[in-house]
Formats: sequence, C-alpha cells, structure tokens
Amino acid sequence: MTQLTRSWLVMSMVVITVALVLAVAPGLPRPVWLVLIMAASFVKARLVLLDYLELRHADEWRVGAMAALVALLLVMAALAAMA
Amino acid sequence: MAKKGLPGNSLIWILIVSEVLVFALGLVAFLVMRLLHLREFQAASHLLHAGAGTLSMALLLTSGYLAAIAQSNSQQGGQSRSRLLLILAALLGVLFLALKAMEYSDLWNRGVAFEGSQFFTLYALITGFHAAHVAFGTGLLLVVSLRPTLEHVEPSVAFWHMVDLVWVLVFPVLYLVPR
Amino acid sequence: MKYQSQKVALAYFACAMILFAAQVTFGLVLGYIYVAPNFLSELLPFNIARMIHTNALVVWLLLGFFGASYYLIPEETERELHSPKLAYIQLVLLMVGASAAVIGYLFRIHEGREFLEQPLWVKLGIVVAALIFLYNVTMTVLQGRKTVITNVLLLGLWGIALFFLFSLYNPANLTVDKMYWWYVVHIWVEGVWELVMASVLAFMMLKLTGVDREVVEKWLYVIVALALFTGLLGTGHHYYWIGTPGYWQWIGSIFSALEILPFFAMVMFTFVMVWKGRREHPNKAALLWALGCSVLAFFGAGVWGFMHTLAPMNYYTHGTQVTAAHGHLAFFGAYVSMNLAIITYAMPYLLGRRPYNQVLNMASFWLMASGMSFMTFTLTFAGVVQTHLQRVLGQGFMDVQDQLSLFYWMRLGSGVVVVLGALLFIYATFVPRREVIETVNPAAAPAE
Repeated sequence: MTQLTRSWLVMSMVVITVALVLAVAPGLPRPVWLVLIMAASFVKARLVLLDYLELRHADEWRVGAMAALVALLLVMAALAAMA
Repeated sequence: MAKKGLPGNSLIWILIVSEVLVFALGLVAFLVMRLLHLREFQAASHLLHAGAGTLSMALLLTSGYLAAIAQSNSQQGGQSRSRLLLILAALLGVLFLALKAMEYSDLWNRGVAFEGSQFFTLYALITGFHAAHVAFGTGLLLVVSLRPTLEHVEPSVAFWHMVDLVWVLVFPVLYLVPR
Repeated sequence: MKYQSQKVALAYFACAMILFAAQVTFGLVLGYIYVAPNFLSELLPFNIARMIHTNALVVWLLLGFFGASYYLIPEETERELHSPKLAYIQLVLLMVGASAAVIGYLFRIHEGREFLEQPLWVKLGIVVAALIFLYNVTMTVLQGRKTVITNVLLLGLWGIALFFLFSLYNPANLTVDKMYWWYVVHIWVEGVWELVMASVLAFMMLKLTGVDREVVEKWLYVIVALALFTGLLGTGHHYYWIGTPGYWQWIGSIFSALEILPFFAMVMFTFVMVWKGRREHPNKAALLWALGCSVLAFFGAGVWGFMHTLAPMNYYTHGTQVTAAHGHLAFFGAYVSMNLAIITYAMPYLLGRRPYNQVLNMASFWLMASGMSFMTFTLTFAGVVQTHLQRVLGQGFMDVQDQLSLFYWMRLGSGVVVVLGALLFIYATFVPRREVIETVNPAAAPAE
C-alpha cells in the first residue's frame, strides 16, 4: 500500500469518526468536542499538505507549512473556546 | 522519490498560500463575529447540515486522492489511466457542487436571508468563494484531462488539493464550532 | 542608448517634468489655502486648484510610463520602435489635451467627477493617444524579442487603457456611478499600475545589479501574481459606504489587507537583487531612487493603506486627513519615485553623457523623501485628531479644521521642501554640470 493510499484511508477514518461522534453523542462537553474537531482538522490538513501536496520530503518547506498550520489551528481553537 | 525543495511550480505555491491566507482571514473573522453574536451564531448553525458538510469533505478528499494518483500516472507515462482518474476526480467535484447547491436552496427555502445576518453573510461568502474554486478546479481538471502530461497535470492538481485543504479548515469552523 | 528610437523617451520625460513642476506648485498653493482659506478664492478656488494638482500628477506619471516604455522596449525587444513618428504625434496629442483641460478648468469647464473631470473630448483624445501608444509598443514587441519584462509591461499598459474606458460611462445612479468610477481609479493605482511599476523596477534591477534575467523574472511573476490576486477584489475596500451590499465590507477588508504583500515583495526583490548583484553600475542615484521607490511604496501604499483599510476602522477615518496622508506617500513612493528612478537611469544615455550630478540628484531624493515623509506624519496626526474630534466627539467639520491649523502649517513647510527637491531634481537631471560632460561615444571615448 502506498503512502498516498494510507493517507486517504486515515483521512477517511477521521471523517467517519467525527461524523459518528456527532451522530451518537451530540451532547459532548464543549472542550472535548473542540479538541476532537481541531485534532481531526490537524490530521487531515497535515496529510493533505504532506502527501497530496507532496511536502513530505521538502524539508524546511514542510516545517514551515506545519508551523503555519499549527499556528492557525491554535488561533482558531482559542477563538472557538472563548465564551 | 526523495524530492528536496518545493515540489512543482513555485507560482502555484504563491497562489495556494494567498488563497489559504484569504480563507484563514475569513475564518478568523467568522470566529470573532461569533464571539460578538453568540446567540445568533448558535441558532443559525443548527440550520446548516453537518451531514452534508461531512459528505462534502469525503467527496473532496477522495477526489484529491484520485487526482494525486492521476498525477503519479502522468509522471510514469500512463496518460490514458491518468485521464480517467482526472475525469473521475472532476465528477466528484461536480457532486460536491450539486450538494452545495442543495444546501443553499434548502436554506433559501427555509427563509434564510444572506444579507442582514452576520452568520449567513459570512457563511455565503466563505462557502461561495470556496465553491467558486471548486467549480474552477473541476473545469481545470477536465481541461488538463485532454492532454494529461505531467507539466499540465501537476499545477492543476496542486490547485485542486488547495481546494481540499481549504474545506478541511472551513468545514469545522462554519459547521461544527458554533453549535 | 543602443537604439536611436529610444530618444523618443527624452521628449516624454521633459514634458513629464514640466507637468511635475506644475503639479507640485499647485500643491504648494493648495497647502497655503489650507492655512489661509481666502487665498485666491475668486481666481483659483480650492476645487479647481486641486483638480489641476491631481490631474497633472496622473498625466505626468502616465507620460513617465510612456517614456519608460519607449526607452526600455527597444532594449528588451532588441529592435527599433515600430514608429517614432507616431510616438511624437501621441505626445503632442496628450500635451494639447492636458493643456486644454487645465485652461478649461481655470474657466470652470469640467465634468465634476473627481479625478475624471476632463471634458468628454479630452477623454476621447486620451483614448486615441492610448490606442496609438498601444499599437506602437505592441507592434514593436510582436516583431522583436519577447521577455517577461515586456509581457508584464504590456499587460499593465493594456490594462490602463482598458480600465480607462469606464471613465466614459457615467450612470445616473450615484452608487453605480461610484462602482465604475473605482474601476478606473482603484484598478489603475492598485492593479495595473503596479504591473508597470514592477516591470520597470525589474528592468532597472537587471541593468543596475547585473543579476541573471531568470532570477528577476521569477520575482516579477511573484509580484504580478500577488498584485492581481489582492488588488482586483481589493477594490471592495471602496465599496463600504457607497450604497453597495454589506458583504463588500468583508471582501474589501480581507483582500485589501493583503494588498501589502506585493509591495513587501517589491522591497524584498529590490534589496535581494542589490545584495546579490555583481555589477557596480556608476549610476548610484538611479539605484537610490529604485530602492527608495520600493521602500516608500511599501510604507505609503502598504502600511498607510492598511492603517485605514479595514471596514470598522474606515468607518471612522473615511475621508479624513488620514486618507490624504496615505494618498501622498503612496503616490510619491510608488509612482513618482519609480518615474524619477527610470528618468535618473535613462537621462545620461539619452543625452549621451556619463551619469552626472549624482550628488545633487541624491540630495533631491533625500529632500523630497524626507519632505514627503514629514508631510505624511503631519497629515496622519491631523487625521487622527480630526477623526476623534469630528467622528467620535461629533464636532462640526469647520470647527475641527480650525483646530488642525498647526498641522496644516507644518504640512505647508514640508511641501516647500518637496517643491525645492523637485526643482533640484529637474535641474540635476536636465542641466548637466559642464566639467563632468564627456561623451561616451565608444569611438571617441578613451579605452579604460
């Protein structure tokens, strides 16, 4: 199995997991819910960048992209957690 | 295939970064507006179909997967296989757009006005701008499927992955966070 | 000067400098009217003087663009211009139109639409001149070597002409009128003019630093992509309060916030090129102007633009002296400096002499740049005070103006410095010092 296929499978699992949680336990405590969806976004965005956009072997570009992604998700998570 | 440095055309990366910046600013603006209009945002978010958003996500990620395989086929000279995969990827893009149209018309039928509500103004702008990119990307994939050489396929597929990446960020913020 | 037809640029630059002198002189008059409001109020009312100030600016900048194109296109395409004669006819047409417009303004003949006050027949004359110009340069490029610099330049020049056509359309609905009006005003200065600016800077970097063409071209692509990506939808930042739907506040805020990026890229570009450059070009003044151009454009257009581009901010600052501060430094940094840079670079070749009066030219840079920066600061402070008194505390417009008079006096002072700098520049580039004059005719010049 190629890295690409593995990534697609992982992302599909993540999508299904979030959908299941949403359907089965809609009343999840908000902090848990936010951590779950932000983690899911991180996994998916990371794999899109690494394997779809082929940054896995692009050294400093990969590091930069990951840093930007984490920063953005942290900002969004912080804003989402307020109030 | 150990590729060092930035893969593909650097100009397409300028575009990807600019687009992601625009969407990121839009999403941050959305989250700030949510803090200012908590009630309205929470109520409005229940009008959205999280299920449709999830399905859209699956469609785009799978479409991106097919496009990525198409690219490696083009790289190895398998042009006819690449063409087929690109057309399939574009078809999933069309399905995404159909789903989006159903969501819009459903909201419209339930009397949602895109003007006047901060939530729906931003929802319409962000998802509309994204859908415009999906439409453009779908067209691009179909055009390059006519002559799927690596030189043609690589930048178009990179654009298509940017559209995936953006939806990965847009979906949770618009559909899931305000609930 | 490698090609005879490049000489056309000399006439364009000379006419541009005449209008430049007129523009800054009228600017000085306007600055004085701010502190002595009755000055010339019958003979030359403020609105008429302002028309001449802004129109002369735009026309001389365009003459500079045309001159720069006529200078660099033969060198890039490696052939003579398609028709130098047409270029001169075009110049005569433009100068007749410009002079007629100014004289008309003095007799209150104008169409009243800000910046596009020219009577219809002058506008049509401009269109004809633009068509002649585009025909001339496009034919030259098509028949010669094609480079990224000429392609981007042509894209910008065609865009200028195309978007000017919207000035002919003046719908009765004020909102629609303003929407199309910005198609000319915004998409010129924050869209297609940036392409001209980037390609002229790229040409100068190529010549002054000796960096490889491929490197310059890569940067040029990046700048053009960023300028168009941010600038076109950035038009939305003018659609906040003119009666257009509210979503423009989002589109305008987000895209125009990113308009700083192409200007930042231009700063990076010019400095990296000079850093990497292997060539010691004798024309240091041209290099100073080129670097100053990218830096001042970054601050004037980029930073000062960003300061009031977000809709919630602009709600308070709209149409105050903050706008005037931004307008002055942006135009000076981006387009005045760019034109003065290419004029400084080209004049020694056009006159067949070695770079001369470097010191005076560089002094004029520092005079103009510091005068303009000081003016920008005073107007910014004036704008902040005005915003607070008028928009937050709700005082009357004229009451607030009275309280700003100290700032207006300081602005007048900085205006004097800018005018002196401008006159010094014109002297330094057009009136060479005798003792430095040596021909660079390769046959006559001694081998070094």
